[in-house]
Amino acid sequence: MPRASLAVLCRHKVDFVCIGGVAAIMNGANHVTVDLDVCPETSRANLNRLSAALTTLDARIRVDGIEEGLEFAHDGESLSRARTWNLLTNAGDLDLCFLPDGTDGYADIVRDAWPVDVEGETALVASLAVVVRSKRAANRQKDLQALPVLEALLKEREKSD
Amino acid sequence: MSQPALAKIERGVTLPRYDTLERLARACDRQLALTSPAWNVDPQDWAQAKSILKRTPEERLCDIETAGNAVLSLRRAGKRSRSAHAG
Repeated sequence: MPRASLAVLCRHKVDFVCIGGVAAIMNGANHVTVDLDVCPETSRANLNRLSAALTTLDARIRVDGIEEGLEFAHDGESLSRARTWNLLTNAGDLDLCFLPDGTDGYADIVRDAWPVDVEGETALVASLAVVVRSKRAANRQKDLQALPVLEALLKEREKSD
Repeated sequence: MSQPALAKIERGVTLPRYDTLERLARACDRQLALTSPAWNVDPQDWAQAKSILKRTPEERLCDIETAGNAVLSLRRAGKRSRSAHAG
């Protein structure tokens, strides 16, 4: 589940920002989600730490029709070759996205990300503004459903600032 | 329409006009409909959002976990039930 995956990433000192459904809920959306989406920082050193975390999580490639997923060898270099990775881990589904819709990646998202304590470590969560921007750009049905309330929250926050 | 022109639309290189979209939809036996539903915030969603934001971030993370576990349990139960019926 998301918290267990977050804890492993934090313990391995991976620099990342939590995005997607978990970030939307953390910012006020009333979804239910069972997976975790993160945007990792893309330096080789960080991707090597990410690779180590994925080994701890026994990460496999998520594939329709293969319940246990596909094993894959990975390191920092190989992880950098794709824009997204849809993974199955011993703590649930984990999606890595280096360039989330509507953003310029980690450096863009981390600027106004906010912290949450995860088992004594600190994870970063994408801001409400970034969540709204990304959902607008993704334009999928599930994103559009969540947008009215998130945009209303953002407007309210901007008024009070 | 030429194949290269269609490929450009598919890749997002060019944005088709409305009448072009209509022709493409017709070729797929579909009608093109432009709708403009109201951008309303559902009062229940708003109340739930406010309720979520009253919780600490750590509590919200726990809530995500609890709700997610419930969904997974239901999925597993559904799967077991479908298998039992199939068997």
